[in-house]
Amino acid sequence: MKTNRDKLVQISVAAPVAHSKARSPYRIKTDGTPITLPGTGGITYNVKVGDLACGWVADHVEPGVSIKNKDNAENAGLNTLACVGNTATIVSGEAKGETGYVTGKHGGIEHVLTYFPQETLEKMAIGDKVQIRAWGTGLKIEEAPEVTVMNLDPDLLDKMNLQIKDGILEVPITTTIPPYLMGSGIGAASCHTGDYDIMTHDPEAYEQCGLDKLRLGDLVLLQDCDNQYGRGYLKGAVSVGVVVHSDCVITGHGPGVTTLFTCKKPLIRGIKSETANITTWLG
Amino acid sequence: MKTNTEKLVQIAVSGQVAFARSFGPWEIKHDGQPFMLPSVGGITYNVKIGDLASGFEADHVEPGVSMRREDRDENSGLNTLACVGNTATVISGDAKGETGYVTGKHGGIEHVIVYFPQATLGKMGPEDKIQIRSWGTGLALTDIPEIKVKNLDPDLLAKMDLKVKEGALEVPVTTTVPAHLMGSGMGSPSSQRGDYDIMTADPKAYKNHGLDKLRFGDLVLLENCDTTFGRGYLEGAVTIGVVVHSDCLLAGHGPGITTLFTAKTPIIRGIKNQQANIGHWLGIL
Repeated sequence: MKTNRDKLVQISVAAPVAHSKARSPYRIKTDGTPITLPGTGGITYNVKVGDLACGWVADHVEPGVSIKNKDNAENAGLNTLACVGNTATIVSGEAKGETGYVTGKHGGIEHVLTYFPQETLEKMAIGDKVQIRAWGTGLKIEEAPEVTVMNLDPDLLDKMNLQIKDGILEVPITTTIPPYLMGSGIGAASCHTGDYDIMTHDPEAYEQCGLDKLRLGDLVLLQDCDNQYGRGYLKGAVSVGVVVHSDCVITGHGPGVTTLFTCKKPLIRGIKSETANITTWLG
Repeated sequence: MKTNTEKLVQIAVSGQVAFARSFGPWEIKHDGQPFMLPSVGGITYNVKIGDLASGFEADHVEPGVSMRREDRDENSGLNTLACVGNTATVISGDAKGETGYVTGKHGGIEHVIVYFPQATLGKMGPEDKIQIRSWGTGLALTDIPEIKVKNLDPDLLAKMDLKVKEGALEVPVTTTVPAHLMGSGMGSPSSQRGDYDIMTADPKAYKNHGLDKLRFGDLVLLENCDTTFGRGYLEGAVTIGVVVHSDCLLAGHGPGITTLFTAKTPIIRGIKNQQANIGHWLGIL
């Protein structure tokens, strides 16, 4: 597969490890019950890419390390340029020099999510600075010009070893999500940052789509979902994204998906595979 | 006893040693006398878990180390997620790498209160950073979902080795406090953080409920006190909490209680035991 990777620039972006915030003591569950739960931010020691996305006593929990800049414009730069699979290096503190990967971008809270090995997490502190070699914005697959690639490291794309058959890009996925299950994040201005959530409150849909088996880092196909310039419904459109954060208790929310591929026409085909998870390719 | 411990996430939260605060040139005692005494914040060297909560020449004094964050929303994150018994590690300064435990959360001032050994306190400075491996928010007793567990580290719960007998959870307590003695902190929106105070201005009640013998870290039972969502009176409700700060002179105040267990019906039973102090389970005492 030919890409324009040789023309893509590599720019460093950086941010400190973000602290968890609590603006209100309660989240209101779908049934109206108030609940206090852990959520976004921090160094999350026991939720990792590859773990189940549902079942945690948490809301929107982010695997591994969450980073954010205090300056809004700089944080937007970070969130736009960081791509899933980019190398992240700790540049201050006890774990200085150790490396990991970007695993997702979480909209709203505007965190970039990074994986680091467990022994690295144990050395890290809130406020430690993480630098990312941002690479991937503008990536194109020459044989599939109508497919837009987003938020994806070119090396990670190469490792996926995707095929184009009869003009259709084939991408391994663990499950397919119908458009009516896509919730919070719809209507956002761009898919080059953030994510949008798979709603998990309907028990039948939850079961049918295998959401109980969904793992952080899984690739999923979103049917009739156009993510090219924002997020919305378009019959025939296809998006494939990566699961970046956990399930939620708030109405209209659930595991978040950061877009990797999108096309306004059915020129992307999902191939079911239990190993369609970014950990497979990132080692 | 079954819990959902394996589903609870562990997230790092942090803060720095909070500077000691002074309120006023004067505060006014419940009898109208102005006073000026040490209060919240700082590294408090000689007030420890296991010490008597009353009798110090102080108001709302916090045992050990008080910590907070400058940013209000981040401090809310710290105060919500930190749980009593969580491991705290000093991550800057001369005591870097040394560990202790969260012993309470103090509402209003929004401090998390942490125990460190005396040798560690001697090395600590006023702006040292402390990181906590927060764990416990959402902890539930799966067989008795009507009992809400709050602000409690799952390992500390396991060490308590509690039993359920005849449908009620038995928890060791040093004393029982009637609802009419509960004061400041009442009406707060959430008991997943902070504390509320046992009022100590009534001499007869003070004596009858053994408040003179109350110690930092003691577990106490609050009768007819519902702290499921906020704090208020409900006949039959039971709350068990831990003593987090000292006695006070202000009207409506006294030793503060951070909720650990609460139920809207009498399905929690207190078992009197003078050793019912978190210091014993944490290996501090």
